[in-house]
Amino acid sequence: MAYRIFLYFGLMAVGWLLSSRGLIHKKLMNRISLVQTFFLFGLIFVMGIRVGMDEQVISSIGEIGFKAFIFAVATCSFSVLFVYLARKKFIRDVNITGGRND
Amino acid sequence: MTRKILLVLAVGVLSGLFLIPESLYGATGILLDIGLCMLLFSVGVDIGSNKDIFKNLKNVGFKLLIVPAATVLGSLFGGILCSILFKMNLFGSLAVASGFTWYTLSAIIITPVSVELGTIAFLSNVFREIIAFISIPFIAKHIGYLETIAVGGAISMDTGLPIITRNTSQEVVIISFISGIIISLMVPILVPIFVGLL
Repeated sequence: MAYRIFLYFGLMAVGWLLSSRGLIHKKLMNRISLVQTFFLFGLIFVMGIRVGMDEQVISSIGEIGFKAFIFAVATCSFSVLFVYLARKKFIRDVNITGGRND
Repeated sequence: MTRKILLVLAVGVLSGLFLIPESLYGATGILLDIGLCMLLFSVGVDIGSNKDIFKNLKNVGFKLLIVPAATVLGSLFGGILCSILFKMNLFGSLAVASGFTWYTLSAIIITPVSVELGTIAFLSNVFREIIAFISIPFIAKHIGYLETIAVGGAISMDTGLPIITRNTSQEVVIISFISGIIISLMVPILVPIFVGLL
């Protein structure tokens, strides 16, 4: 866990440092959004492969999947609701809120 | 974006079910690690191209902690409601709800005590991750940027980060990463506590 956090932080920091000092080629800078999309879809595809290959997940989806699904919907819905209420009360910066505080 | 994500995910699941040999399961883990590293590097590059981000974040200050705190509390509240709905043990439900999409860890901690709860934890966190992938673009557009962090919880610092990057602002990407770390750190603390109270 600690190793991964340092690795993730480190990679972002190196990218940030190189970019902020103008050491990244302009061609790459112009296509950075495309690069991110490429890796994003690649990761989602591989994640899907892992889910499909995991017999435990596939076989138990029918049995207790309903309960698990309700848990998933409830936990993420209330997390979104709580952040929404807190953001409305405490945070005003448009760059952070997305301009939906009014 | 959402349709494309769903399509890619579905193709991936079908490939895993019918095409990819089991011997390559380990290789998919390596692919995920490499892809994630490349992605986080490119996110860093993207952030570095904007000089005003840290100045903007400084203005928000300690309020940044509100996002992970509200995310954790919201999930626990959802867990309490599920325990009432399914007439389940309260602490068992809270343990399931404390996975915050880190499905491997929460399920591993819970399974020795209850296989059923462990499986629910595993699946509910997988479902939550999928829900996050699908709903982040919608939430960013119709509800707000910070709420995109809440839906994914722990994945806001890794696999969810690129989707958040694509749909929100660079300031939110940094908040997302920090929130994801705080939320992830809560998993190995909260899950054992609730499992111990079972």
